[in-house]
Amino acid sequence: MVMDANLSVETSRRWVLVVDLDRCTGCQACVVACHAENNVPVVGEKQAGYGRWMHWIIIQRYWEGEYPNVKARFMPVMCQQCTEAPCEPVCPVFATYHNEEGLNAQIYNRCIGTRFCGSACPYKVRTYNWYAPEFPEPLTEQLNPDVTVRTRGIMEKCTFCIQRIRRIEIDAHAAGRIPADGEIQPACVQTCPSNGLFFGNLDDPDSQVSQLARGRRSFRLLPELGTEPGVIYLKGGETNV
Amino acid sequence: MTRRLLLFFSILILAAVLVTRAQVLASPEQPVAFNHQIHAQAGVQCLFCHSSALRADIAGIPSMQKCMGCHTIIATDNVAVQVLTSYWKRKEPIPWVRVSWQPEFVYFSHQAHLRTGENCETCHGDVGRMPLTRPAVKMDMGWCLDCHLLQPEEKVVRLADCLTCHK
Amino acid sequence: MSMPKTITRREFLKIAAGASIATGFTSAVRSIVIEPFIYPPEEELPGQATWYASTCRQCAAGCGIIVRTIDGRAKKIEGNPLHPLNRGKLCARGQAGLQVLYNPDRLKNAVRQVGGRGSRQFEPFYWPDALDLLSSKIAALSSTERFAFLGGLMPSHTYRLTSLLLEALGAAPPVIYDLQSALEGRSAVSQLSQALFGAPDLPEYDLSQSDVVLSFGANLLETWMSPVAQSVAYGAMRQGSMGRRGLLVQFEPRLSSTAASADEWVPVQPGAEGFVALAIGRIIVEERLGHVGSHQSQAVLYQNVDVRDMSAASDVPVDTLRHLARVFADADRAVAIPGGYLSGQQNGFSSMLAVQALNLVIAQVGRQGGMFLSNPGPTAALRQNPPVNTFDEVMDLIRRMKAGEIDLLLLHSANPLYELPAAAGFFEAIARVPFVVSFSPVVDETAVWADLILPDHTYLESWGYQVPSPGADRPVVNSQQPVVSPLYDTLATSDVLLGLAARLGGKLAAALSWRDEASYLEETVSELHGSSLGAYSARTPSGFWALWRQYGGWWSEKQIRREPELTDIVQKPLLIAEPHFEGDPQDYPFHLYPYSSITLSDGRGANLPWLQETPDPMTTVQWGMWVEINPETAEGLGISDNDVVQVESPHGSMEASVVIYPGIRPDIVAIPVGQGHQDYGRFAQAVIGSNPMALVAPVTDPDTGALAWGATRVRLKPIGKKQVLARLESLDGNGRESLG
Repeated sequence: MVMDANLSVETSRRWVLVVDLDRCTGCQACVVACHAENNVPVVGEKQAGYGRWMHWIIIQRYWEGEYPNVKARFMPVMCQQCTEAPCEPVCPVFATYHNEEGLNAQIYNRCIGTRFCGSACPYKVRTYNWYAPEFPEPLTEQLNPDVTVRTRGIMEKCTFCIQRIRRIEIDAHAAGRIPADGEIQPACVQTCPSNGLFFGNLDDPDSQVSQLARGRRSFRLLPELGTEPGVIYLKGGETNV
Repeated sequence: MTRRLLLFFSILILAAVLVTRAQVLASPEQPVAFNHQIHAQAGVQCLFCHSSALRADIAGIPSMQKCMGCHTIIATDNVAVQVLTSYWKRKEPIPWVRVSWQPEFVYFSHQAHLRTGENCETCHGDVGRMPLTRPAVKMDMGWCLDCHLLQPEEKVVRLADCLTCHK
Repeated sequence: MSMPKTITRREFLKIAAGASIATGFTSAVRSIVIEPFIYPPEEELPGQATWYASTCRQCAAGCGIIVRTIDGRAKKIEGNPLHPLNRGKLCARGQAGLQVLYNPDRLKNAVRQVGGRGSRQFEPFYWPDALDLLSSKIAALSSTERFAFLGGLMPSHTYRLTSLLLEALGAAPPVIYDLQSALEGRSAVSQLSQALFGAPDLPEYDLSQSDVVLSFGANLLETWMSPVAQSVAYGAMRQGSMGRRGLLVQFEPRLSSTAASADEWVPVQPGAEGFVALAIGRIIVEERLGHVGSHQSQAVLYQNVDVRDMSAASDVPVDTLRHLARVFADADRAVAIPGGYLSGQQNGFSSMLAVQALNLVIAQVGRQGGMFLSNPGPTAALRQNPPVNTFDEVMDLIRRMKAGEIDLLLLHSANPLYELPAAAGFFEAIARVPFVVSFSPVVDETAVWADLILPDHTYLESWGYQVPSPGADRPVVNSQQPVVSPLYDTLATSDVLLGLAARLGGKLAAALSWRDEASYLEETVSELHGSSLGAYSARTPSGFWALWRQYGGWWSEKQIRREPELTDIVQKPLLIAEPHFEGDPQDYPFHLYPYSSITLSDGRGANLPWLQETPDPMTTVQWGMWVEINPETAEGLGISDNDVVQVESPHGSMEASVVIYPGIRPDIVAIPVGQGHQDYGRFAQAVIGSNPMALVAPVTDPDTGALAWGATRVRLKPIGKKQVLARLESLDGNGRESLG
């Protein structure tokens, strides 16, 4: 990692999230933490029934087998922050694009709501504001001032908690250091009770995420599409050696 | 006919733009006629009142207690100070009208900018010479980028990234 | 700005342009008012986050939290990374705590019910008048035996002050009951500890170091006991050290999300979990399995056990039992956990005893990777924590209320009308009490029948302390402090109690002589100052008080685990009675399994929109209420997904949509607890549903007096209607939620 005199890190960051399926218990703590951190709206029963829920992270549950030899497996799915993101080229207004740190960005004030990106996304992780979000008073007080409250007609999705990345970087910079490995934690990673989520820099070969990514349990979702996701999954049910 | 109408609307829109711009840069009417110039001439530093600019995203406006720290003694015969004192006595906050602001979808940190050696004046103009505070520039994205794009090449990648300022 | 739908965008722009010309373009310039602080709060920079440490009160576990506040408003709750229990982690319910504070349906002041009880017509009541009225009611009691206090998940200090007040009055101590505690078998577990180890403290299981965990109906990754601490340990058990991966086996009639995380799920016949434990014990002893040289001392426990009989009774093949016995006994470190589902049976206590005895057989009591006892509070005052009363004791209070023996009833953090089986008769009982006072911050089902509601602060506005139980691997006392000023004109119930004592004078004023809640706490907590164990030290009591709040509590620097000492109960052969169920199997062919929802727990989370919107992990239902049945059962009854069925027990009936659930025994009907609120705010009431407690028979385990909530039989009747549940998962597999 190269630093200039002002301690600003100018080179080579590739943010990735590692999801250890062997630790995930499906408990939904990440889902609520994400709502709280990112001002994710609540749509209510009727709209949720239409599939218009707004969660940025969901825990998919897959049944396998039949009673009594039945199993259920959990898989948290959020924006995969693809390197070759299918959502990006289809946006007519460049509201979604890729940045140098491997983040797939969504710029809300640019978005005009064509929903092309949502259709293009093979992971179906983008959510669309069909209505203006409602926060009956005083629930507005819960809103995080570091995150825009999206309005009707805007597409949104997981940002890897960009505001938390930025906060730690600015604070570390102010203290004259660079953030340590594992210091930056999106809200889901921070709260995960079984420590099943890890966040860090894949370009740093010594980071925890790099080590986990090299393990033999690691895989990515729908690799055949060539999207090169920034979310790395670790298979459940076996040890790491 | 159509052409004349088009011309009429073009002029109207141009006028609208000009008037709007003038209004954006006008000093808003404040509940207390606060004078930055007098304070600066008296030698009060920006950071004395806007004390969190170096340590936080927001520069902050001083608490009423801070104002009264001086004005229980200083310039008590001034009309504006008397208005201030009447708010203080009622324990009511002064409803200041914001002069400089960014839209909700923008993240801006005073701390990060001051750390790079920028002065308050770079963005806020020579406030020390403004009897009535007004915005020095229209703080839109083009204006931000005017500066961000002039930075050393290795920094521009970061400074021109949408996610640096859009939240 | 609202506009009629008939106007097109183009027309709108024209109109808008015209309007702005007419108004001199003022719309182009915004006017934003910013108000300064009058007095700036200490340590607070505008717009900059300040973090305060406190304690989560969403369940009884007592996780440490830190709360991000900006400009005096709480913005985010996270786990306290220093706290030995949850180590920075927090569950969904804990994360949703902000919406307890900012709930739009909170009471904003004290109220009295003016249209008669149940009218829901409340009018604001001036606090000093409320206290005068309540103290006059107490003073006017013909006998202090006519005074009753019913509590739920009460703050420890409020409980202690209540106990002191009642004691000084000569009234009966508070009765504590809440549904979550009943579902996790808190009082039964405490009685089991008393019987086995001579102490009422709850066991604490060293999961992180375990190689094999046999969980008998313990939903340890959901809501049971201390789910966050248990999940942290579970993660470490799975992938904590290279090359080692612990094994989890779950015995439960329904594949819960804990069972889904387990390596093996064994769908045991309801009420027969103890038989499985007996069989495993017998096999270990018989075959001299494991590392223990001789099992002679334990042989007596299993002398009457026939493995084949146990297998037949529990529906678990002998081969499976043998396999599990070997895996369990041969492991370096293994542990067996008697969970909440066992306690919900009429043979609960003996089943739990049989499971706990397995830890003796493999010598894992007080050993790494095994079971320990929770450390009690380090001082006498800190040991006086709300115990959970048995259902029998609650029934006794109900009987007295019905008999007209109670004139004044106070309710704190208890919602018995929702949380008790309807058949317990609390509704008839409360109607006979002339004056009822609730301290609930919102109008819940029980508060509707109160004369006065004196809303307590919510937990993010409150002071307090708590000794977590089950505890961590060391002595811990949590501190709780207000992270924001109270939003409304509410009053801490502890201050109400002190106010009452001062008004009533005499013995009461002497027993509760503290000036206010905070001074009581400072005094109680100061006893910890100077302890050599603490993770931090302070020179002065006031320095300690500051650090106590900054750290979020006090705990030992080093690990101190409490090894239990055995009583002689485990020298006699273990006997488990046949489980009994309410309802004739001919008329009521299914067992009812009401379970605690991972999001709403026992229903206290139902008023938080985040938790309602969060999908149930297994069914992926949002906002809804459902009945889970096995596919085979559904086929037999001609029921498909989303069909509404009537569920009937000998005690009541309810309707809900069906979820066909592959992971459930064909003879089980499972219903999550938590929905079906009549009151409790807009978000709780928005859901169409009923409370499964309407079905539950008010029967107990005779050994403990605990509610046998799993001992009711039901029948199902399709009513020929469909009501589609909102689910994340689409039933055709083509929805947004699934890949490919």
